Amino acid sequence: MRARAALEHVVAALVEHPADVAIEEVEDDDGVVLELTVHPDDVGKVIGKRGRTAKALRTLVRAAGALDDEDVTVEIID
Amino acid sequence: MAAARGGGRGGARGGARVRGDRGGASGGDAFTASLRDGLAAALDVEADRLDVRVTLDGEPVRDREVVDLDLRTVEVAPVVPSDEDEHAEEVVAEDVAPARAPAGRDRSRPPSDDGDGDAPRTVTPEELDEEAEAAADLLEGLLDAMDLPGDLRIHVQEAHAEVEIVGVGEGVLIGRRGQTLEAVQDLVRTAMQRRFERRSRVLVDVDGYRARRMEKLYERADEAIQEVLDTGEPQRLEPMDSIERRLIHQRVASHEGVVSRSHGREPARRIEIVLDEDD
Repeated sequence: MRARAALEHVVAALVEHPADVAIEEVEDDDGVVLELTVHPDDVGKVIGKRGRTAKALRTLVRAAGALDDEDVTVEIID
Repeated sequence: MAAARGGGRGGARGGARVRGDRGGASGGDAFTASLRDGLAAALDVEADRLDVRVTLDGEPVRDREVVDLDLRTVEVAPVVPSDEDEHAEEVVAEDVAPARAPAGRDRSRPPSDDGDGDAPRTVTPEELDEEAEAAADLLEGLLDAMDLPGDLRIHVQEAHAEVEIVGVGEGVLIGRRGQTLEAVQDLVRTAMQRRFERRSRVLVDVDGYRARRMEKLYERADEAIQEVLDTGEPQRLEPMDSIERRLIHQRVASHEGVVSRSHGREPARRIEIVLDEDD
């Protein structure tokens, strides 16, 4: 799944602990939710100031999902 | 190193170094001066007793944009301390940013040329190269992850580098009104800042989209400059990101009789062009 691969790749570049990045795909009625778990010290990094990084991740993942005609969102687990 | 990468791209990764013209190498100390004046008023001391040094992760900062981008802390040390200790006051940058010279104090701060305009010239071509290469690697991996075609081109300029994805097609990475490109830009910037622990100077473009936008922004800025000169009325431009704003500030600074400053918060931060009262 391209959306997941895109998220995985970018998040790895944002965090201090790439080995601790985990993504789970959960299907719901509206599409796919990518549940993103990172090292506790990295949660702030993937959210960003005023949620800006999280928003950018969602925008990118939505675009990648659209390539496969899928509605994909990201949920950051903390 | 391009050969080590899979996917058969890399061929187009040129190191084209296009030297921009060296416009106004001024240090940009209006920002520091305005901080000093504001803090002097707040602390009720004479401004000339304060020597304001703004640092971000130990690196000197002379540009308000940097503080806006990286909202951390500003350290201020008095130049005439009563004793040896530093008494460094930590002030959250966000609280300091609007520090204008207090009313009545006639230390007018020249807002063009520097201020939140020009970039501080602290970045070396090698650092730009290094960051551009890293950004290109990140983007190349993203193209691979999304199974998209496209090549990467790097143009290192004077104070920033452009990494352009060409041939990706269909606007996939641009999005409606450029919002996907903005997201990619944000992510690249954040990743580069984490990695190099300094302000990112890489501008991402996709199939010339940003270059076309920049042309439009220049056009509108030129119209606004003319309007200000004709009518004396301040003109506001549309929200832009920090690199676009810097380029527009430089454009305004190249015109006599007008100056520019930025207002508001990212991502709604906008440039206002006003008459230069010193003229």
